[in-house]
Amino acid sequence: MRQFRTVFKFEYLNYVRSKSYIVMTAILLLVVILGGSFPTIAGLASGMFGGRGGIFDGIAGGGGGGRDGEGEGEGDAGGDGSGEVKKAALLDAGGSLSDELLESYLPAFEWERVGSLDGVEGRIEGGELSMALAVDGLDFTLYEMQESIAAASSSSWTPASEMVLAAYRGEALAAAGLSQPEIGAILGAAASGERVTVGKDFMQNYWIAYALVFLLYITTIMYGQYTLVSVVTEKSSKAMELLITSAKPLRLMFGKVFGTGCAGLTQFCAVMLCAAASLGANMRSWERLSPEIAGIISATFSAGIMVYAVAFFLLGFFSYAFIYAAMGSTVSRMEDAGAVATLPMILVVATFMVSMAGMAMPSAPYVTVCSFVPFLSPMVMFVRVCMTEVPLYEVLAAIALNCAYVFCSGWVSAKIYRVGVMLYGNAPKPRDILRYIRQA
Amino acid sequence: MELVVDKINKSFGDNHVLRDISFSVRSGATYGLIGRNGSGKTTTIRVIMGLFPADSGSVAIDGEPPGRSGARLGYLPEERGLYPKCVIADQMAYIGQLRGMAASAARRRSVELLERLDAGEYYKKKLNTLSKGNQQKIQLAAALIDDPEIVILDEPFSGLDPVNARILKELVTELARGGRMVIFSSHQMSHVEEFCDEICMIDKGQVVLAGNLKAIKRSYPRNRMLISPEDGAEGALRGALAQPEAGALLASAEDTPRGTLATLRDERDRGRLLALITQSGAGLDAFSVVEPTLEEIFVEKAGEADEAV
Repeated sequence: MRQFRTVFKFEYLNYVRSKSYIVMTAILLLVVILGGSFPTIAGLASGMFGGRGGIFDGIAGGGGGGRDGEGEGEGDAGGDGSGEVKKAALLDAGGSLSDELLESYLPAFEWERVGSLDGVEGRIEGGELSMALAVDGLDFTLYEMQESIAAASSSSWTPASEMVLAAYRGEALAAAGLSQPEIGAILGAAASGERVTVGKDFMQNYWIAYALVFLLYITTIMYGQYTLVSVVTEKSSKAMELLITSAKPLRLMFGKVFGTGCAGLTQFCAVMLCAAASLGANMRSWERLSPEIAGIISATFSAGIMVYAVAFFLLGFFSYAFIYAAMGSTVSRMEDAGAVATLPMILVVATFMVSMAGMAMPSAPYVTVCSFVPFLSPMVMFVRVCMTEVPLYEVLAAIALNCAYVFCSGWVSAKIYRVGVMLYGNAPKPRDILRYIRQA
Repeated sequence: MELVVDKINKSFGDNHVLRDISFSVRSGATYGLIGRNGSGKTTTIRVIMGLFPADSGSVAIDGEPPGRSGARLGYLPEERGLYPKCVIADQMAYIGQLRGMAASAARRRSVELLERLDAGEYYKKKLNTLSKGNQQKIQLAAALIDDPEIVILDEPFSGLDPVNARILKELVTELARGGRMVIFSSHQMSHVEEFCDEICMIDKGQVVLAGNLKAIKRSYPRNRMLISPEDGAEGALRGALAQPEAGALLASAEDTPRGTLATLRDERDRGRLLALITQSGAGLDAFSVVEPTLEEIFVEKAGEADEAV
């Protein structure tokens, strides 16, 4: 135990004192502080530069689009919120679309009524026109370019469709003898409703799970690689022979893995605490910017999520760190480290992919099953606890299974490590690694 | 304390690296493992250190396996290295603590050792800022950090300049005088010859010669004589050796910078040769037996082993 403590302390202090660790932590903290203070900084900047086009104005105003500017969600209807008037062509054979309708539904456009669509596509491609619309009763054709995701998502399709339908309904209601005020009242009527989310808010938790699973993925790979590099460095610098005649190989490996894990946890906790402090200090700015984002932030930094994040970070790290250490022990040159890192890397990436797929349907049976599969569970169970209601016994069962797996992986890795540290030469093939396990 | 290596064998795949290696060393002795590159010296040392097990045979310290004997073993591996970017004080303390020392005691001992090795100024420096020779001194200090009873040094002189080699020799001599058992491997025979009491010569994984170095040398015929004439007596000596009586006694005679090296057909004819020379009137500064050098013995034994194969 004393040797384990010595190795643990040495490894931990070596990490936290190293320049790369300090610089990396400082950069992460700076990013987190700046990210957490983003709305405040942006607000100050917009105040300094006269507030024109300020972030609060831009988002809260929703771009000023939509019929009567009523819905935030329709902010993209009228255009991109830039205030720039774009040209559009309209072929309206039946004359059903009045200028008022056009102004109401697609206010960002300056309309040119045309008699035919000949040459319109070329004018759009040439940039003269932003779009063209051909309407015949309820049938309509929309011509526009989609050169980016932003352009695709801000398509005029929905407001154009609503506008054509409104024109059709207006004509039908007029034909039925209703006056214009009556028609206006019918078409302008809006339902007022309230959605009550029962259980966890899927979309809010989606982003929490997304952010934290991504963080788990990055940290698992990063600290796993640290462990690998640490072992390979000891071999390549030839320190290993002196070390294993001074301490038991297993104590060396376990001390190294725990020391690295603890250094990683220190960095992880420092970043999370700093993020919580920064976001907390700027929460009012976030609320002003977007109540939805503020809600996600509050939910993310709840005690429950943080406890799970730390627990699953540790489980995730230990699920792979022993494999990284064992793989590192089989090579003696840094150039070969990448090759042996492939196996744990594939496992981590597979886990990440399953987690990402699981986020779309966190209650799917395969996600439930995967959340109990040891090396998958740190991320997949985390997705489930973030996005769905999971009974505590299921979480504890997954943690217990993963702990058992960590123990087994530590045991097998120790066998590889014990033989591997004495090997110098070419990187081993998979059958060599199986032989080391049998030899140990 | 006695270390006994008894008939150890070791193979790596089809390569039989060690064949029935046996020897024993007592405390206070300086023991040299000598042999060509790839002869099996390092593998023997690694088996003693428990880095990998022998396929058969045993290693015992006072009758117990090294791990259970309680003896402290200090080891300077052939593949040298510590943490390049780590401060020397920290890594010395780390090695000391791994070997069961308290941190403060390990630091005190590190300072002592580095001072003794004329490397005290490097205590607070990082290893990668030192020259190769100085790094080697740090590694030697790390091997001796817990004052081990058995010191095993694998090729300790490689990479050392004459000044540092001298410091190392003095330290090894001190250790042996202090009752420590020192085992070291080398393919540089002059170092071994200088201060080893006993040797084990390994070639192609087999012991080809082992025992007390003086006794080994004495076992060789004492028929080689170095004859140094006084100044101006070179011609008289040459004339004496050219006499038919002298020719009957000598197998060969060759001039060297220190005098004439004459090989007798029979070592018992030393007196007769001396009488012939003095009767011829050649004055002598020296007339002494020349023992074979370890290098000569090594070349002879290695040659015999090659012929046997």
